Amino acid sequence: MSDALDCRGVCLRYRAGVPVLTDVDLAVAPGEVVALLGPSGSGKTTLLHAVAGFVAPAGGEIRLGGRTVSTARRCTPPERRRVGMVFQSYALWPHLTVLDTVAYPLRRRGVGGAAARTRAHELLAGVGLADLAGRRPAELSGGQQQRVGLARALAAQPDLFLFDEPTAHLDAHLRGVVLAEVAAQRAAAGAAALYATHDAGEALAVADRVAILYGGRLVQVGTPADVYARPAGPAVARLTGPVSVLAAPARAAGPGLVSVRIGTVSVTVPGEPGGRILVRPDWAGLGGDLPGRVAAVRFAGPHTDYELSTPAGDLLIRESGPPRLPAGGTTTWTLRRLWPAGDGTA
Amino acid sequence: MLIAALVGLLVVLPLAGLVRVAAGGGLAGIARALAAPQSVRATVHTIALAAVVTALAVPGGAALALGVERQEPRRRRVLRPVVASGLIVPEFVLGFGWTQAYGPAGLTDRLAGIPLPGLYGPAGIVLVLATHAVPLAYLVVTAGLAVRADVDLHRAARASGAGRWAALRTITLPLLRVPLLAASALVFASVVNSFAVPQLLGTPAGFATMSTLVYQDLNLSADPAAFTDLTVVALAMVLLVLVAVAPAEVWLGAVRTRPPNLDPPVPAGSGRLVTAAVWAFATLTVGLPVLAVLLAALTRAPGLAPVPANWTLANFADAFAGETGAALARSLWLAAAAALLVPALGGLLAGLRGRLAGRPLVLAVTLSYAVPGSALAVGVAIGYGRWLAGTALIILVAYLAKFWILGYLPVRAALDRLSAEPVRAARVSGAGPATTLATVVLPPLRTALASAAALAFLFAFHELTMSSILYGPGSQTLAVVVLNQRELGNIGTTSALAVVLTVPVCLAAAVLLPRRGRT
Amino acid sequence: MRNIGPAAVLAAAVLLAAGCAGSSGTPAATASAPALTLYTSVTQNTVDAVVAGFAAAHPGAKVDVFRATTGSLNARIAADQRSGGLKADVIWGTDPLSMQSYADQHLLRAWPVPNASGVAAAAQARYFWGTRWLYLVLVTARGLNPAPRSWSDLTDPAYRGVVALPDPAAAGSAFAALGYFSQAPGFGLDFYKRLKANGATQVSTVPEVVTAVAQGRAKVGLTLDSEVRSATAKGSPVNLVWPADGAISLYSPIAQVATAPHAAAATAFCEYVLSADAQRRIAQTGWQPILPGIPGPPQPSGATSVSPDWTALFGRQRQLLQQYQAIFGA
Repeated sequence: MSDALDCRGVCLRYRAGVPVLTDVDLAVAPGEVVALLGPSGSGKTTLLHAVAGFVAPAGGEIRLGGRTVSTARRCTPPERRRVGMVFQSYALWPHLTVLDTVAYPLRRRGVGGAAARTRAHELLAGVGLADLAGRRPAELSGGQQQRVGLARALAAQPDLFLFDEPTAHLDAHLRGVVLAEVAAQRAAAGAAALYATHDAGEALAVADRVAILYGGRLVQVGTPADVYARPAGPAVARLTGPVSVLAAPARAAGPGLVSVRIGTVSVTVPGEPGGRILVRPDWAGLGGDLPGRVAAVRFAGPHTDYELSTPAGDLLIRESGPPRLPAGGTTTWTLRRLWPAGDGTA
Repeated sequence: MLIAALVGLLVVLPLAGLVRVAAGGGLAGIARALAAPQSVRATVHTIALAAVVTALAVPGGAALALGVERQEPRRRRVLRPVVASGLIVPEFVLGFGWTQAYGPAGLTDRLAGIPLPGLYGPAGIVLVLATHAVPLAYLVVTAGLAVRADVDLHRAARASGAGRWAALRTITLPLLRVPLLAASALVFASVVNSFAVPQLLGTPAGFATMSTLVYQDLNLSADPAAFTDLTVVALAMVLLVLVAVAPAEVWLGAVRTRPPNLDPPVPAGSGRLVTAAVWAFATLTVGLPVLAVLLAALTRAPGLAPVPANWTLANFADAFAGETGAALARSLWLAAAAALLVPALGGLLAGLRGRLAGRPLVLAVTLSYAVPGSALAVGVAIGYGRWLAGTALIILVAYLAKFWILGYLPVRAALDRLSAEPVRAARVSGAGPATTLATVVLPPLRTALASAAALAFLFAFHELTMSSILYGPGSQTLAVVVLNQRELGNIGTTSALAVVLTVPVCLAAAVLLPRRGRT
Repeated sequence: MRNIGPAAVLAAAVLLAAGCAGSSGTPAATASAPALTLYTSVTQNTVDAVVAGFAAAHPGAKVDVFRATTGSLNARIAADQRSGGLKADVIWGTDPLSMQSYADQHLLRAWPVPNASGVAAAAQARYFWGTRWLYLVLVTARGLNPAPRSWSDLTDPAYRGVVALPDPAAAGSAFAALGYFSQAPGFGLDFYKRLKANGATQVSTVPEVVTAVAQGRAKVGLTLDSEVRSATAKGSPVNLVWPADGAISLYSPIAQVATAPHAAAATAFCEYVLSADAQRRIAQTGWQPILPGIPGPPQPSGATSVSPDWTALFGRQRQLLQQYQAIFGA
């Protein structure tokens, strides 16, 4: 079976000449969710727009379900691509009711008025908005609006969902609710999805694989655990979660083991050799042989973050439970594993 | 309070003067003036003309707005002034240019033996007025497009399976209903009000409109009965515009939208086609006619071929003999004063939005735009002649009364996009009302205020009718000179003055428009 | 309360503008030298020449001129009457019709200059006298063969579709033709029906007729003699044809306003316009002087002129126009 989405060497630039996307190769298998993770301005939305058919690539090829839809010469219009899109701005039509909005894609596919409305009612019930069917977008909260946007995308029964930072405009609580809804509904629909976000937690949580876009290039593609544990560089590491960079060279010390010297103390831990090292907050712990000073302590409920000043630089350590140390004192810590920072900026 | 007083002084007082004159003949007199066969004919012509031009120009302007505004920014910056060119050229120059370009013995006739059939008559009037009205509709729809029709809404429709046309029909056009209505009202009012083109192209065919009827009555108005009749017809025009505009104003007041998404627009695939269409439209409707005027200005005498052998600058020299230089300077100053005060007045009125008192004031200001210039000038003279007769100030009063609405519309549209929170934030940050106005409210309105100023300058500089009635010793305007030259029958000099009337505004627009496109 | 700030700014701006604009001078009359306000629709270069001559003859004299088209002039006078009275001392018009309306409204003083001599009786009324003659003649495209010779030739099928007429509603001078033909035996309004049937077109102003013929839109037209002469002087391919049955003449009248604040100066000005000096200046700007002794622009030998019966036309202008528009209107 062909991939739901297959981008090959996609290049795109606006007339001003600045490349927005360079040589993007990305495949999404049927039923797979790929998170497109990148900082703002990295080209996430542009890539989604290229897949949806809103912009034409300058080079390369985009295939949907094995069918070539975009080349530099020929572009299938968006309405013939069978994709469903959920927008950051919700993009709800102010002149249509919630029911009409959800029925819209069905009507466009030639479903009769009554049948489309019945189906729209079911979809709205599915996202818990059955009683708001008669409202207009201006009368809904942000979370409700985005659930309408989701129902609309579902109504199209697409082969591929495109999510463009659907939770970016929502507050933390709603974000979780909508994210869960999106994940559940996508799973029920069984279609593949490309999910653009700049939030590491979101990307790692929803995706089967994470594709990291930086400066218009794909710099790493892998499973969430893989990109978290083995980021391609400091920038990718920062994108995929909290991380500290320590100025301490790691030297090979056996298969899969490196030795690293911090201050006057050397330790041997799992990792790869490199000039500088990356340490996730959960790769280190309080207590042990390495020296440090507690610069700040932040209590976050289930866990507590400690900011340590070490001879190799600042280090973040996350431990479960309430604070065990006051800020300002000296302490010791343990390094459990590390990953080399690499040379590139990515 | 102050705004109500200003509206009273600038708008109601002159209109009341007209009403008093119109009522002078009693109800019977009014009925007689309106029932006269030529009044009925002119009214029917005016309504038909306004309806047809609106039906042509609004879809045209909307199509251009959708075509141009969805282009990538650089192309858009180039196309915007091209589209607006029809508005920048004075109506009188445009009409004259069309006769010189497409009329019998015009450019196309001379070069290819093809004059435009029906140019003199209703068909020609419709064409030229539509040329003038398309950019007007374009501007209004563009403003609405920015506020109401976020590109994502269009994208959502396309992703939902709607084709280009289905998306246009089911999403974009319904969203643009209010701006389209506003554009229709504005175009309708402008056509009712337009004089130069119907006079130039309609008279040869014996085709009269209400505004040419008012002009004709003005010529006979040494007879008090004719004068009364002309005020009756003028007020009937106001009524006509009231019927067209009032519902739109009610609708405009009712709709509120959220701030737009500032995404860069989609570089549509049809860019080259749109560009070609815009250039072709502007060249045919504005470029060629203006070129024809320029050639007439350079040619020694009418009837000679516009070839270099017959070229001369004497027409420009003649045009600048005597008072013209001083009059040009005075017109520029008056236009600059209008450009300064009209946005301020418009801003004040726009600040009243949402308050009940605002509605009638806006309506009053709209109506004074609808009164034909000659009648409004008489109203202003009746209201202020006792104190200000013959000064430049009375001309300025007339300009402010007539062009106030031009300051109001863009500022209102911009205020629609502004939320109250920045103002509150400024106040809690310790800014007083004046500081808040200067630092928080005005800066985002800069574009709107600038376009209001530009419109006021444009219209005031091109104004021919009111100042020719109101001027006095030492306050001659360019209009007086132009009308003098026209009456002297010197087509070359008139063309030269038409060029003078057009060029400064074109230059200013060339400098200003691309800059505005960037903001 | 929110609007107090901008309101104050605006009020200040308005006052400032008022101060600047208002300072442009109101005329100050001096006791000795004559000072007066002239309302006129006579062409600018003629007014300028005559006013300059008046100032030369009366050192220190100051004439404030309001010059506008007949329509704008009428509007100004109508507005004046409704806001404190006519502000002019002298009105110098283009045709007798508007002037008679003013006389009927008692705006004019009976003719103030008893000694003016030589003005033809046909150009004298109780309140105003003529100052110059205007002649309506034929203009033809150069090389038109056969050229028309008389007014009645215009209905000849040889000129089907090539005749241009000025709109009689646009100016008094154009109306004079309608007035004359409506009265003249053998013409009448029927003449216009025949013209229309022969495909004659109406253009808007008198000068536009010359332009239309020069550009080839028409081949024959009815216009003022001075327009044709100034066009030929610039090289336009047109000819002046003086109709064998007589050019239609009208006179440009001058009158003193009944309530003239500067009555003596007004009288002096009226007197001056009928002096030999002023008449020569009028001739130099292309018009036929009203005084017979002063040579005007050249006329063909044996040129005759006819003129409408103005008295019979007074007050009938709109009615005649409506009849005309029933023929030429759309």
